[in-house]
Amino acid sequence: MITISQLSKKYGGQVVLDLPNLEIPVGQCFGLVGNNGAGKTTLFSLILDLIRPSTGTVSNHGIIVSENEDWKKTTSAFIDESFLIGYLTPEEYFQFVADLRKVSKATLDEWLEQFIGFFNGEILNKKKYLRDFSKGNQKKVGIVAALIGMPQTIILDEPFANLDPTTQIRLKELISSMAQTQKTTFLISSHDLMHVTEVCNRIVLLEKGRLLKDINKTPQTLAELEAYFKG
Amino acid sequence: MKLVTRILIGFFVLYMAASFLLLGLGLHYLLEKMVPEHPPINVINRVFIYYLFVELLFRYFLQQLPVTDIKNFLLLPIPKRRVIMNVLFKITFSLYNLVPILIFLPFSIVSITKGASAVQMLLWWLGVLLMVLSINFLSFLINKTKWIYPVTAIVFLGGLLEYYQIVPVISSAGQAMQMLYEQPLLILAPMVTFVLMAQITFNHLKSQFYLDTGLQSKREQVLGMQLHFLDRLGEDAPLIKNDFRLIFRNVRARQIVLMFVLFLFYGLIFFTQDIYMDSPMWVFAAIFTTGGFMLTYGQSVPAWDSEYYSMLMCQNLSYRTYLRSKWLLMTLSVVLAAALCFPYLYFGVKVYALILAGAIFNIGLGTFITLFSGAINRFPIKLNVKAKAFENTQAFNFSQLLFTLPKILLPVGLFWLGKLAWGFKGGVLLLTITGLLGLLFKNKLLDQVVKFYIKGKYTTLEAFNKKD
Repeated sequence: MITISQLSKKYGGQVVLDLPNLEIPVGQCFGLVGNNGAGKTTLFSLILDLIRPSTGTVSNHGIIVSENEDWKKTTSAFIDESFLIGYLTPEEYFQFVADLRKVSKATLDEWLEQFIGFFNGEILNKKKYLRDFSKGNQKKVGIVAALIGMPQTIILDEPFANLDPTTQIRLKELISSMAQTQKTTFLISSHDLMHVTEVCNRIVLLEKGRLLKDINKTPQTLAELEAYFKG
Repeated sequence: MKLVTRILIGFFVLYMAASFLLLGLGLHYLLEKMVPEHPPINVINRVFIYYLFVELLFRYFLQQLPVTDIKNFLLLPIPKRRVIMNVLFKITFSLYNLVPILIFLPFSIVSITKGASAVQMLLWWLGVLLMVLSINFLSFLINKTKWIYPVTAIVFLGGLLEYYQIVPVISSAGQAMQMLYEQPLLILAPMVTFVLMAQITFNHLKSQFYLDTGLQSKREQVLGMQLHFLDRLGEDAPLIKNDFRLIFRNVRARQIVLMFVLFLFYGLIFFTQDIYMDSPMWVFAAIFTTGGFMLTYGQSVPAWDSEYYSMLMCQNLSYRTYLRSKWLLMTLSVVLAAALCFPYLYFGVKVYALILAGAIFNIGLGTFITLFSGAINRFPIKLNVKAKAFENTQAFNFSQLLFTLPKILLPVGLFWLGKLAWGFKGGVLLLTITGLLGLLFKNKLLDQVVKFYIKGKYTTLEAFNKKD
């Protein structure tokens, strides 16, 4: 559960995000949409305590993220390639994250087996550093690493971009099943309206840092969003 | 801050240029004094082949070459020929190529005023310049290969053959240079070489002009590192394993290993000479001998992790664990260095005792001071890119200098105080006790470091994530 109150971020005099309050309950699949500059990544960075809020707070399971590091135990994220360690192989990278999340090697190996289809034979046992992988395959590694150790909250920025269609479909299935079976809270931002409305049960639309729409998904949601983005 | 750094780099370049120019102006007189039996030009000719080799080495290891820029031009309506010529010009007009002009042109002019023939001297200089430029192309061609090692081997072999008077390789090269000086028409040889090298480089670049050949970054062989022996370190193991991989798999980080080894020998400079006997310089040496890794690696914690710092900040990893693992790694390096230093016993028990005291000081206090100084070093490190010649000065930072001083002055001062009171033994003792106190209060000190890092977290992240 994530509670945002009076949160804002200014750069210079310019407000890039201003959210009076927002609550994301446990087990929700929360979709974030908006054009470039809407504040999606800023919001995620604030939730992950990567940037300092100008005002307000984010609390994650009751812990104010800028004051206490304990939220890291239950939360994971994949924002961009800077979340990968370029000089590791995918196996080493998974192991590193698993070690930090106190997941044993045996458990990790067994758990990774379910992703054989998702990896499509392009990730494991390639004897290759992450920095030498293609963008799409890097993303696969980053997303799977974010799922290690069953975190309660998972934040994914643009998870569908750069993925091939098959992988996009598999990723949607993966997210839906984790959200249902493990009550994982997902925060997903995307430019792909179709994917995000399909996988999320709540969509928030940001425009220039402000909350414009907060929709519980209905069959009309996609049409409603498309109408907005047509302008 | 950036401007200050720029200005400092500018000063540094000017300083180097002035030094070379002075060397060039003075070279004639210097050689006259050192080798009075031969004319200076003959002396230079004899060792010129070594000079070329050193140039090649420097260029190979330091010079950044403008290759990757080509990619941007692929789809623009500019003829390939022009793009390649542009690259060739960029290679030719690099700062490095000013060196032969700054050294050998003044030398030639001085020689002319001393009665050498102007035509001979200037054509000789032109020959030198052309040879250096050819070496420049050669270094470009072998830059991405390992050819530098066979070339080095050949030069060494040549030196050996010469030394044992089997085949006079080096002196033949010297004679060739001498002939160039005596017979100005021979200038044709370096000219042809230069044109040939330029042509080869041109053809090479042309063949590289496709995304799937030259422009595709080469895939490296994975350096297998299981590192199971580190597992016994418990909670710190994953981070230390990562640091091992960081150090051995990245061009920039490998230099730390080199520094570790080089610093082991640092003591030889001071412990071998009687004038430094018992002086504060000994402490200086003792601190550096075991602290090479601590100083070079530690001053860029957390910058080594700058490429993925946001990721580390989101993991199930407290700042405390992160910093404790860095402390442990530095401590292990100091212990290893202290063990490897035991041959210093040869210079007496006193010397080794001082080295051990220095090591204990490094572990107890040096590591923490280094961690503090690292926190304010916010220049991100591009791990797999060779350091540019002047890039290291970028990490230069006044507040960091302030932190460097206690690392060196504090132990020297402590030793001096102890020595004043109870003699050499007292100095060693005081150094040891201070180190042990640091170890005793390790957790308290670590708390302070953690606080300092958390305070700078956002600023550090912002600096590391800045795209240039």
